[in-house]
Amino acid sequence: MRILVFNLLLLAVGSGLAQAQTDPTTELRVPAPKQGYFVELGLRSGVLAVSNDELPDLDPFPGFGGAFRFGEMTLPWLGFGGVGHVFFGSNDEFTTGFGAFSMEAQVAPFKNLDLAGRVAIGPFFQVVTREDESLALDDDPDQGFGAILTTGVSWDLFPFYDRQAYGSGGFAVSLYADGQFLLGSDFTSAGAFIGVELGYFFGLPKNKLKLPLEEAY
Amino acid sequence: MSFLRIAPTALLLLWSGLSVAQEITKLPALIEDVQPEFPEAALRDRVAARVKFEFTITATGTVEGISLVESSTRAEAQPDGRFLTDSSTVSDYGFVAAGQSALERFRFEPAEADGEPIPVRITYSFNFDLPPPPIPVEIEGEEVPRVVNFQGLLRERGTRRRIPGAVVTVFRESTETSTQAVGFEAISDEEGQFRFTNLEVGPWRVLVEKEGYFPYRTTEQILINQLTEVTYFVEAGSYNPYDVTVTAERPFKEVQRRVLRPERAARIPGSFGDPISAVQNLPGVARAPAGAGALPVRGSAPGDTGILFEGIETPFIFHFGALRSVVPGEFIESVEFIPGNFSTYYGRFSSGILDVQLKDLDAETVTGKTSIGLLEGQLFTEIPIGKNLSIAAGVRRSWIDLVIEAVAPDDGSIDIIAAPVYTDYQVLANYRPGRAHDLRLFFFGSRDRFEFINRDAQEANIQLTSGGVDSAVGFNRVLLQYDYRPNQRFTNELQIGFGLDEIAIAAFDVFEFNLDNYQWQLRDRMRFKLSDRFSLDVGTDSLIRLSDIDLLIPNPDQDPLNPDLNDTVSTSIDGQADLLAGFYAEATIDVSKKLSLVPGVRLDVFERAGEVALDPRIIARYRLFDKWTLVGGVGSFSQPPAPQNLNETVGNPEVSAFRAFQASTGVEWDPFPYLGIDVTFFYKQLFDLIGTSDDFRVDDEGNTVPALVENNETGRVFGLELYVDHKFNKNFQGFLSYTLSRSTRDPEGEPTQLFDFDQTHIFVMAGSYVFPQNWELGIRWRVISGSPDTPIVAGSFNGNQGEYSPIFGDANSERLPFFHQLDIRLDKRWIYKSFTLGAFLEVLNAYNNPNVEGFTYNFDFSERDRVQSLPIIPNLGFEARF
Repeated sequence: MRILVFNLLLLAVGSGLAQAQTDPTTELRVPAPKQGYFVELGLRSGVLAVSNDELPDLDPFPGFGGAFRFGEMTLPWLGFGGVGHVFFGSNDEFTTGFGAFSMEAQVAPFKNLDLAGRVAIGPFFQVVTREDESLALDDDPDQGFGAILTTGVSWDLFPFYDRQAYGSGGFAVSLYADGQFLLGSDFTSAGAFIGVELGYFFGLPKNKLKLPLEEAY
Repeated sequence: MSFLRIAPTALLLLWSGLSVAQEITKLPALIEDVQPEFPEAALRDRVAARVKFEFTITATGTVEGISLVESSTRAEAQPDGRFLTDSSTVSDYGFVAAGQSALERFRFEPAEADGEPIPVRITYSFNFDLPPPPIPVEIEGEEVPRVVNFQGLLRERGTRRRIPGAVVTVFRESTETSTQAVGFEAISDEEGQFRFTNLEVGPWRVLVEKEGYFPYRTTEQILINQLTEVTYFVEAGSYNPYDVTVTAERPFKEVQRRVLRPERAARIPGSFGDPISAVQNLPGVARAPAGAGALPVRGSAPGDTGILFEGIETPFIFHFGALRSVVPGEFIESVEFIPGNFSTYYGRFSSGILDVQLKDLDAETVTGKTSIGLLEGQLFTEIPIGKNLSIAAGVRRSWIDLVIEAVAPDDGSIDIIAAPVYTDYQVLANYRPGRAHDLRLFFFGSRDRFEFINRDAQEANIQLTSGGVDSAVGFNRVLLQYDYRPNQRFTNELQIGFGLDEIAIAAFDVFEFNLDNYQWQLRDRMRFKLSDRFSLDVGTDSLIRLSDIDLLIPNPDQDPLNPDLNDTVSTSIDGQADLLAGFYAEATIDVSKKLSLVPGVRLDVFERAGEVALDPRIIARYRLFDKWTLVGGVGSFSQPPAPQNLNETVGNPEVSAFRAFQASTGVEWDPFPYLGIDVTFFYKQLFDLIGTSDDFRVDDEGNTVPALVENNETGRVFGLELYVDHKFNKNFQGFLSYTLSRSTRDPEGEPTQLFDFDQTHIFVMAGSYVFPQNWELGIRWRVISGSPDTPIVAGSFNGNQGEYSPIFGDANSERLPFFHQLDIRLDKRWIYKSFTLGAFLEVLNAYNNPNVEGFTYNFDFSERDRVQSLPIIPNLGFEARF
């Protein structure tokens, strides 16, 4: 054991606990709202185009749906998680609906601007039925499954966040727009959607944040 | 930190406050207790006490009427034998006041009589036990006596591993005696322990730091005359599985031996978390059809590659569907794959070797794992027993059967009698009585079972009207391994394996195969290090097999283009013995600092085939430059006929072993410690391969019978393999594997044709990156040439059977379309104080590419449709480790 000069201690400990951290896995983060685990629940509206060799003239399907997202911001600019989507749409002849679950990554390249790009991939299940069942043909394709690819952008707003309070995480309202491509066994579909989500970011614990000495303990 | 232990004990229900005695139907229950403060003066003088009170619990649960029943105190001696006070003079250090103050803040659920709360009076005791005393430390030359009054242990959060080399800092801005801020620093020792001496009484801030760990911050109260003991669980920045200690690699005696560590291999997307499955990504391994579980290596049949556990043969390596191997990664030290030109240590196989090395058990404490996924559940634990003995045990069961039974329609054409299910178990004991001795006992087994009946077999366009498929395969093995290393000059490795294989397969009443196979295997290798440049290995690798076989198959003596599947033959063999004895000698010669040679020879006796095979082999390694190595090898490899090929009824007892001449050469370049690149050219000539035959032979009784099979084929394989291996560095690991090859066969009297698993291009690219917060993203992409296919060019109507028979084109004259598939895996781990939780989501065939495994034809073979491989498949799993 050896005695240290307190000023040196403060240099090492107090000034933001800023020891040289080259390892990104232990780098301490400046407190920010978009940190830690998150859950978000959203509504969306859009239009889905569906194609199938047996049903060549399908009109687009306007409709609405929902999304449930969860995950964690692993870096200030990168998050991973999962997302569940549902969508229901109809046109004059058919109705369609699909449910999907994807693994998702979001990239937020701008500092202090919570604008993020999202990409997701996973399986989906889709159903297409005629509005008038009496017109249904025996060989009508009616359901299929496959891979759903999602890409879009989101803008997270944190209306209650106070940057002076060294807080991490908080309530969020997110606006988003995305496109989805469904590569299915019976149908190939593409859709464009806009939506809004309410979410909560749980933030990082104190030992993972750059904090003044008094805030750190 | 808890600095005192209070033992509250409700002793006796004394009195009910009611004037008329009532039966108490519910006793009072303490719902909020408060620990009394240990009087500071008593701590200073090392005085303990026991104080007993009596009080009333009111009908509302509060405490009233506290009175002292009795109290006693005792003084404890210091480590040097002195008493800091005379116990006879101890009267009251404030214990009574402390106890009374605490009791006043107690809250109870009141006692009840006939459902109504009533007041009762009880007694209650506090034990004021002293914390451990400070530890005096004598330091030579120092006048002020040192006393350890703050010490602790650092453990890694989640794994409980001790953390040596961490910096522990205690600091405060001012004290009662000094206005100067002070701080002290200690470094945790090999056991993860740290100590501070003579810290002043009062609060201290504590900071624990170590590279690779998040800082740990807390505040501790240092008390007078008291040792403050703590255990801190410090969170690591990453809990990726790649930070493992790699034990010394075995010396390479092959041109290429690729070693997969289970913690790395299991994370390759598409491997379903199975380290042995990951071998299918390596250079030289062709893609088998989805679910086949085969390992076609360097243009040879899957059966030509040996599947071994520590050199001991096992009947199969994968459960059905090939998604899981029969031994989980927790028991595996490494998976070693040799695509060709293997050492004389191995024999009886003509292509490659897959040898699974068992783990050395070395857990500090009891550890374990439980996992639940869409496929299966697993339990595993490793227990150290004393200093020299450790035991690990595990069991797995699939629940695919539960899923199938839940989703299969009751009125479908398939009637499921026993849905697919697999189980396996493992027990591994490791005993090291001394440095020279290492004993391991591995007891493991596996069982797969499924059965269904096809109610409408005609739909499948086959000549069957009823029947189904019933499969039950399993094995049990005991492997005893004893390594004796008395000194560096001599090593002996003994392995004894014993087991029973049970295989029962029946299909559509036209095929039955029942095999009970008892197998004993003995291996022993002695290694003599005769000088620094010369060592010699000699050993035996012998196997005895005792088989009971029942076989029913379609009669092989009929027109293969127009077979009648209901024309069957059967045979039954009891107690068929087979001795396969192997002996080898191999030298390792370091000719110079740059050149090493490994010449060897292996002698194999194939008792049933009545043959003796002598296989010479040699490997050379030449260090060209600092990071460049040339390797090369040539050798002969003999493989005995499969038991069914030697069978009198369905085979030909006259067939002999087939042989391969293998040559390979390559260059290895290791530009960085974490990056290795190698290119290997290989050539393989195959002789006396066993193929079907239209000829006849004379059996033991002098009758002329169809030969069925003969050594009538030759083959040739050549190609190159490229492997770029990026070991875990800067949070990334990955590999790139490419094989360019051609494999052909020359059946006697027929033109050269492509081999069934000839795949010109095999490209696999995989990588994973470990992100902060214990996330890991992995991707694998495969692009592989389609396998050859024999087309059906037309159908001819068979009047006798009333249906069309296929007319085949040239054998393997077509190729299936290119196969390509992307697999993605996302892992997340949560860290708790003494355990971790993990979850993964894997998406196979992420963009749902409709890969083709073959074709089905319509009734007259005029049209065909593609048989698609696996579509997009999600897989989700969870695990807990402690």
